[in-house]
Amino acid sequence: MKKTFFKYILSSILIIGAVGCEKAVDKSPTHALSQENAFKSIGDFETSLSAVYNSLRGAGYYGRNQSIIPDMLAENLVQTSESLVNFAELTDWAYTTTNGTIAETWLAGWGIIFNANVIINNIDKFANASNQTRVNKIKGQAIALRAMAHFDLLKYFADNLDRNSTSAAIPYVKQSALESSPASFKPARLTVTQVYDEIYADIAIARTALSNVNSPINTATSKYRIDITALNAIQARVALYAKDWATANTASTAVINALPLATRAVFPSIWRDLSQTEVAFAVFFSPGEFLSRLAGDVYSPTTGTNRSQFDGNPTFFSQIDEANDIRFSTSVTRGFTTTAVVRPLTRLVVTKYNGKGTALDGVVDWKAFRTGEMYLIRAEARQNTSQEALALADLNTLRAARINGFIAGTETGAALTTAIQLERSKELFMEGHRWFDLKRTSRNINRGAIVAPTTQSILVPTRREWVWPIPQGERDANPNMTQNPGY
Amino acid sequence: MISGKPNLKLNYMRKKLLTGFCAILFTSLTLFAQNTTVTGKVTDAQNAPLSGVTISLNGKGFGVTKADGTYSVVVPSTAKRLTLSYVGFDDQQITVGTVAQNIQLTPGDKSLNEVVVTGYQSLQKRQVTGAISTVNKEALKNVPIGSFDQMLQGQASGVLIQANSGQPGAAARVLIRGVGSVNGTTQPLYILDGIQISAANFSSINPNDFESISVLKDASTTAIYGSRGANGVIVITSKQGKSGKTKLEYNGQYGQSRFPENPLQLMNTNQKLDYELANGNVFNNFSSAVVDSLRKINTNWQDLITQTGITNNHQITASGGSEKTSFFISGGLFNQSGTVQRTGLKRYSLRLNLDHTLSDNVKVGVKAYGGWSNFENTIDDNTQIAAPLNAIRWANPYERPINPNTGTYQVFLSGQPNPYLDMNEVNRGTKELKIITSAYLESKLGFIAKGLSFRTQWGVDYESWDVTNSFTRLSTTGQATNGNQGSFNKGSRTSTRYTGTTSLNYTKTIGDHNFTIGAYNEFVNRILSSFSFTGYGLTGNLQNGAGITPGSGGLNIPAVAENRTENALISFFGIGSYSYKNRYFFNGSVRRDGSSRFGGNNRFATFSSVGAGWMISDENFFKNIGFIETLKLSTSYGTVGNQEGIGDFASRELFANRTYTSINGPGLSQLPNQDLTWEQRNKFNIGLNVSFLKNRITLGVDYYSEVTERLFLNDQLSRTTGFTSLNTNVGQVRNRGFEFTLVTENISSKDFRWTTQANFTVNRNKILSLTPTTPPTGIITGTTIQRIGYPLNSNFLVKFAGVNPNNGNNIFQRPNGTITELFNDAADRQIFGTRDAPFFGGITNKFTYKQFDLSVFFNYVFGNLAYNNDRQLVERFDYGIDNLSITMLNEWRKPGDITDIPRASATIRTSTTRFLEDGSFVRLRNLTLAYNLTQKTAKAIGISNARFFVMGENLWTGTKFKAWDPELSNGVLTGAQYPALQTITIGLTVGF
Repeated sequence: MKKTFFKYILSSILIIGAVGCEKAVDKSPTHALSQENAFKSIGDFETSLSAVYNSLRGAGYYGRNQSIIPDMLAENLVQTSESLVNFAELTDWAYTTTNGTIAETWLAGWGIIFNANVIINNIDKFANASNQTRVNKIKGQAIALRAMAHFDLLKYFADNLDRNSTSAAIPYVKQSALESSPASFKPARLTVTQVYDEIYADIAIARTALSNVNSPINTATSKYRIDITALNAIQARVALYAKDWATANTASTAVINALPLATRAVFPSIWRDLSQTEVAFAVFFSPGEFLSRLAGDVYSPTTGTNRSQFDGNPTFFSQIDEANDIRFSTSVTRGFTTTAVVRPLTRLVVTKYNGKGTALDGVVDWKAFRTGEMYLIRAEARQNTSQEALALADLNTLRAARINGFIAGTETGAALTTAIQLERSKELFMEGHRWFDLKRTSRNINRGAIVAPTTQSILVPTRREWVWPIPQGERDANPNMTQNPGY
Repeated sequence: MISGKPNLKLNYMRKKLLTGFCAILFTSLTLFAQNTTVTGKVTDAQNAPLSGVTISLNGKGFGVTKADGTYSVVVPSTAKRLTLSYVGFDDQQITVGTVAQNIQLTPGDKSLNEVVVTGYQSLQKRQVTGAISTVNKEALKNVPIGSFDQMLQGQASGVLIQANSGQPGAAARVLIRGVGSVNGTTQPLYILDGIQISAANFSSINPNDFESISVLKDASTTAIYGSRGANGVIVITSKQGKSGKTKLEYNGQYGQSRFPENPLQLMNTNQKLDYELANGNVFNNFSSAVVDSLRKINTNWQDLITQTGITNNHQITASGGSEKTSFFISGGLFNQSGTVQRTGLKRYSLRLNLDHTLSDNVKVGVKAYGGWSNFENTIDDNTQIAAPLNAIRWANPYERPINPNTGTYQVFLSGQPNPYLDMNEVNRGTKELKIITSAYLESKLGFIAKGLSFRTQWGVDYESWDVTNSFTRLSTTGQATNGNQGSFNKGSRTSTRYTGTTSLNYTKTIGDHNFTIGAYNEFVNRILSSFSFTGYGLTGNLQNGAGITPGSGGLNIPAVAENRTENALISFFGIGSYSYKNRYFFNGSVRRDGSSRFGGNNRFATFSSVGAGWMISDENFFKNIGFIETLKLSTSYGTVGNQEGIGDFASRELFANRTYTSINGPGLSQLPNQDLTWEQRNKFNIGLNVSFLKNRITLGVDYYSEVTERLFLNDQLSRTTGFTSLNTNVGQVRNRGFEFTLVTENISSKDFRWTTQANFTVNRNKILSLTPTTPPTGIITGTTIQRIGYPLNSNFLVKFAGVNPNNGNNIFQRPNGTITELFNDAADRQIFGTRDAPFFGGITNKFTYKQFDLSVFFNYVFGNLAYNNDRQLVERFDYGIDNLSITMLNEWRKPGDITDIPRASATIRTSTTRFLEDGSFVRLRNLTLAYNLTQKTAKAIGISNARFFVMGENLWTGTKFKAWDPELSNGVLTGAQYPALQTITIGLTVGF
């Protein structure tokens, strides 16, 4: 009996052990997925596009660094005393390889590309003859997004953006980290030309795919995804930077034909998300799904903040006909405030992104590509290919659509060049273009008299800051990544 | 089974046990052939009976005294002398004779025979081969602090405890023998009555229930905790009843706390307005009429949100029992309001500990604790403008809390939040229910083999939080939230952690040889689940959940989130010890752990330790050294693991759901690492314990060297992967140091006694290796760096060399000693000391005069350099729209000005030594003056004892650090921090 008791105790320990052991410590997540159960059907890839589009909204991309930072870096905004000076290192052009915003921008681009590659590289396992158009629809978007993200990185991190530039650019990543050992994934920089080659190739593949899809991607009131028109818009912009005028001309024409310009009456409602006229691709922001104040670091209208850290530059706005040009009132509002804080009427508060409808929460869609830009791209392309009359016609069409009682301009030559660039700055104020337009054309900034807390006014073409440094963290992990000149 | 090893071991052990079993049967028969009975009574100095006194022969127990102090033990007739031992008293020897032996024991808390609890075992101090600090339970009694971890500050050598917040109920950072992990936790393992409890959330636990706290530090004591013991183990036992008359005790306490002044002074109205005008009136462009009107206002913002804190602490305990059953019951109420309005902790607690002896061989028991707390808090230690503690520093003194014309909250000219508004329009609270309960059964298996015993214990640590935050539509957060009309958030989380431990132990004495072996199985499983709901649009009259107006604004969809994670640990371990003549001690342990957290390639690991102790003073050659009473040398070495601090599924590839235009799809959120495994801390310890001058001086010195291997570190990835890093086991960090503990009895006369207890620790931390992708400079994170050869969290800044009197520019000193005005962040940063204090300790002096006693307890840290980001935020011109430090009045204005504040237009450079300060401090942590009623008076009024006391907590702090409170847990003052409460209480203890 004693022996039995003893045996019982000992065996109970062993049973606990044997039953427990492996099984007891094999716990699986219930609120997250693994690759096996994340992708079980073609539908999972379709929904996985959400992960790619979702990552466009982060602060490292359209949430801030690819949307409003390009204007903050330039001269059409002036920093005010309300500023928390969180971006002084950027706006004073004092950045070094350790700047956090630059590192965030760098990472955000690759995050989008990573998520796109997960789809691109795995979807074919689920493709068959019957679902090819559906695969096209999914894969086409993913490839277009991959090309777009590479292009947006290229703009900041490469020095010379010409099509034949041999400047060091960025790697072009078509593999996801899951397919190789992440620790040994250390790509080197390609030249600008090589990156353009890859972007052009991806756009071509995406074009084929998006031309043959099983159902429409966007509707007239929902332009939240990349369809063939959005792809043309991407291609037009890429070609503009590459000075590939012929492609810029055809691609922008395709968008212009698909999406006519908004009228002056409709134009303000675009910025309130009440209309998507002339929008080719918008990134969806909403308080319920993704509460992010797009332009919060410039002006945040919520009554809790009501902080205008950057105003429209009065010198720049003096060139816009306040009474007749609809773009003045859609861009800024004199002395705007949402609380008892009083701002003088000389203050041009940036109210372009105040919110949807009548909301004053700063949560509003990011209009990534629209027809207004396409007219200006085509005008520039035409002027550079000796079609000045057509270029002027495009410019006048746009101005007539925006300015009440506009009398057609007659600029030619250098004056026309200047007029196109001026019009770009008016039309595309706070749309992520100013810094890059200056970079690819004149490389000159003059902010006029220095107003605190900004400490810098002039950026000459020879300054290294026109190209952002490769972040130190990348260089530490990846010795194949060379640094930009001057850093 | 992944590995057959534990099985083999048990099989082997079974054989050995069976062999031993036969041997014992045989020897016991021969040993106990002739017996004699010894009887008597044991009392203390006041002739009160002592129950539970152990009567032993050559280290082997033969019985204990009963409730009335009497004993009757049967010992071999060959026995000459027996030893009587009892916790808190010196051992006494008695000669075996025929007459009853009545003995009076004398107190002596320095005794090496004192029992220390190590979780799985209870050991006499003499037997310990490692490093254990025990905290006197008196040090915890009636301390008016909500979270008991803070009470351990300065009480034990090698243990650095720093609270980041003085908020009632806030927990502290507890570091045992330095920082040994970067990505993993540095918190020790907490064991209460054998059950693992969360290393946080102590505010619902009543520390007055604690009987003992042992801090296990070295390998021989922590290796038995295997993969969880690397950061040390804090073992707590709760009080147990003793058989005898039922004792009732009441403890009551009332006190008040005040909010301190900040040594970093800010400008008053005139100073601030003059400052703005002197700088060209650029911030607000005030007209002179406005300036004149503002000069009439001078708001003291601190007064508007602070208050006198009130502490009420009451507790009733009952303990007692019969010979077979003993119990301990306590009920407590702790109610403390903080020094900031709308903060405080209210706790109700109940404990029942019950032990019952079924038969001579079988004992069962249950420990049941339930605590409920209501924690109301404010946010601190951040740079948020809506945090009231920040906002009172930044609000201009010429602003008012309430607009006198409208009667509503004043909107500031600066656009910054009004702290008075955010104090009153925000509610944050956490209600916590904590249940810690366990049951055990232990059985002596004497019928199989004398000395064999079995024990199994199962328990649960259950926590349930109910977090409620409401931001009214007027509050800054409420206006910035979705819909801009306020929000109401409710979150519930539950954590359930089971611990089950089953063991067989066997002890055997053969002559001078004493053996103990034990085989254990343990299973720990924790499930954490959470749910939260945030509703928007508090447009109703009520500013709680009932005020949510559905559909207001159309976009105000409530945010709902749910999550659940789980981890499990399964372990087999064995311990063994051997002693010879109670003079030479050897012990060892082996533990094999499997954890659900780790990758399939590395799920199981083995940890082990060996230890040895030598009671030198028991040697014959030592008998001649008269002034030294005891001298003991001990040493240990072993490996211990760490697995906490990383996610439950940290080794797995995870896809999270991402949403775009209401479509939910998978996106990779974590890269897999199948090789992820434990951090391993290799611990070496050598210690010397000496007492001399008739035990009036006891000194303990320990030297330790601990190397953490396979550190969890973020191995940097090329960002082109889409990720910054991968949590990988690479890198090593070492902690080495000395610990000193000194207990002296300075004066001991009939009426007056003065004793001192002091401890001091030196800890040196050094990084030995980092990830292969780390550049030679190291890993820079903000203003700190991790560099090989230097301590973790070293300050990494450009040296600030003042201001150029000619132009007002900052001047910096480059590493080569040259002076420059150019700020070169990348090239000119240098290491300036560490943020973790290398020197710390505490000292308690106790004076007893007749019925009065006075205890004075200081603790101190020094040698650390802390970064004062809070000062940085008020010492810069570009934040001049808000209030600034008065030092800004010394700003450089014209050539020739000698100052250390640069010109207004100079770019602010934050990563410089300008904001680095000496973090050292010494604090009068506790001062208690008490009066104890004489036994005679007590008896006369029908009670057994009574004590009246006045206690001061944190009454004085000496420091150069410019903040409300120099106590920082991470060596950086991010923003305003809730200072430790300065409390004075009065109270009494009455026993019946």
